[in-house]
Amino acid sequence: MGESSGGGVLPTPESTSIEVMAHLKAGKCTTVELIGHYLRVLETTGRDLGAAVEVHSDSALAAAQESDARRASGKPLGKLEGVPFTAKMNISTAEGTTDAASGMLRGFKANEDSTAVARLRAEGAILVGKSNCDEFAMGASNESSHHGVVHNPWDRDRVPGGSSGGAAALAGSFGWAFHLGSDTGGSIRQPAAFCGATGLKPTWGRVSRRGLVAFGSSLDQIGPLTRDARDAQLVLSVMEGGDPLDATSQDFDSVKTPTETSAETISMKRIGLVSEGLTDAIDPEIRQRALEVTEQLKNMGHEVVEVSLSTLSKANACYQVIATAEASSNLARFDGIHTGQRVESEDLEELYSKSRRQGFGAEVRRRIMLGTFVLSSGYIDAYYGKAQQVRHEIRQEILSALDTVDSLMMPVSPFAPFKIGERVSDPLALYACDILTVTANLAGVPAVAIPCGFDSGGLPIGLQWMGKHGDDHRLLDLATSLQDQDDAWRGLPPGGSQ
Amino acid sequence: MVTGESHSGTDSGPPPIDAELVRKTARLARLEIDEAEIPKMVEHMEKILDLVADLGIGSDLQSGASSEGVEESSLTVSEWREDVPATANQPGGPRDPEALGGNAPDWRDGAFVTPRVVGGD
Repeated sequence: MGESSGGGVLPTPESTSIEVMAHLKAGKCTTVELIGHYLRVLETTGRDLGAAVEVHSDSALAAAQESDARRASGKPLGKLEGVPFTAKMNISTAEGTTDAASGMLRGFKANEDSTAVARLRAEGAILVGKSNCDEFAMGASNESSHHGVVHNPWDRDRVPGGSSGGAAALAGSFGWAFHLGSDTGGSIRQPAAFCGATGLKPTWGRVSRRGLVAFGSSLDQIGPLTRDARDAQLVLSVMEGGDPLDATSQDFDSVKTPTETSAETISMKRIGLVSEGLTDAIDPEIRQRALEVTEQLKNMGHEVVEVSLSTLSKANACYQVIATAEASSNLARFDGIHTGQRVESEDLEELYSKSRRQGFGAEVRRRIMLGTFVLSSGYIDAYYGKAQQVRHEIRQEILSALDTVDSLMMPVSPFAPFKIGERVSDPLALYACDILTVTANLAGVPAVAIPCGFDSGGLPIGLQWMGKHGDDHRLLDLATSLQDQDDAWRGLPPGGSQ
Repeated sequence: MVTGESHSGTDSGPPPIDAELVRKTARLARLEIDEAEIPKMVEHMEKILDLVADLGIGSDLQSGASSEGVEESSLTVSEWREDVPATANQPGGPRDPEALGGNAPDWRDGAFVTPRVVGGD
């Protein structure tokens, strides 16, 4: 990257957030120059991809000036000083709107930061805008947003994945920043895999959900989409921890578990390769890549053993019941009275039903219908009750497996990024995107997805590792050691960084 | 849980998804549905419930199984904190009413405006 307009030298486009901080510390450019250029990236590449839906130029430049002033006067600097970041449209921010990409919340102003955003800003990170996503985070292709579709930076005719498709497209097309997404059934990991980014779904409860527009409360987690696992590690360390304003959040001990002796420097020595993640249902090139990475792990000193998860085949069905049930309940609050769209009527019931019909898109309406059905009298025990039972079985199987190995490895997606419009009319074709990702949400365990090369069509392939509750940082250590072996992840798509 | 209306069908396995069930569910969901949308909704709900049948739903419906006693906790919360009253204008606490109503479609004199629900002439 050349000189900025102010005369400083900007970091190269693929630089990570940590590298950007070193660049600023070395005085090669000012924070105002850095943020000014990144805002232009959002206005050009970000808007062209459909990924950036709001660019907060004034507040970001003001924050950059304050950061430069802090640095110049020798005041204490934050752990993320001067680093730009975006928040997904379902994460509350004091500036701009938080519409969850839904017509129902068009123009909604949260007027205050979510806890995650507030903690990041308190450590010097600078909010530069909001990213596109599927409506209410329901989707795997970012085709259901009322802001329009997002394009995959590696092939603009293809989807970026979803629901955090905007965040992933930004992370996959340019460095410097990190991006907050949310993951209910794979919504951080799957788009990260499709766009060549690193994505972490933290342990449920590790990051406060206060200020996140609720979809499936027992599944939702805010997490980072970044260039690499070191950035994710740093961002998580700033966001994590109990929050009095989210009673389900808690502190997790980051200290290494006793299974790692002091003499052992390899994080997560024993890795379980999930055999159900390597069946014929998975694209052969993705399977092949998983096997190659397995060899790489062995060469690095890991033991890799095959592990069977018999409940994996039930996970998607279980998820469809639980996620839609929770969604129908959470979205009941959008009624045309308190927020959002209203269709006027003399009758209250009619006002509710007409406002909700107009405000919600087709995919959200379908999920509300399904969720309402599985919770309705006569069916709740058979559907919701049964799904809870299966969820318990899934969790038990994952935890038992993680008693024998340190992490469980699988592809993220069964197939490569698909063409825009290819799956949108068939809900089962879309839900098939989630078959390998929902298990981590149902079990509440952390999972990290990292880019692991490309298929023959030049599209990114992502693999994921799940760990025990609270093992987020160890998973990121493992991901870092892999990324240190092979820096193919650093590459940016041709034209994506312009 | 929605208890406003009851469906029949617990004695005969998975319910047939038909237009009437879709209309009933839409009423429970407070979601207007056009007649023209119903065939597609029937088709999609059928497909999804077929997928969900992998969980063994049909046999449970026939046997009238109950979820009582099912261990539900997949969550990692081991201890809930005590409730603490939030202070005014702090996050989570009572807000300035005007800020609260700022996102409402119709907000007058510090109140959300709805159609008349009781009384009237």
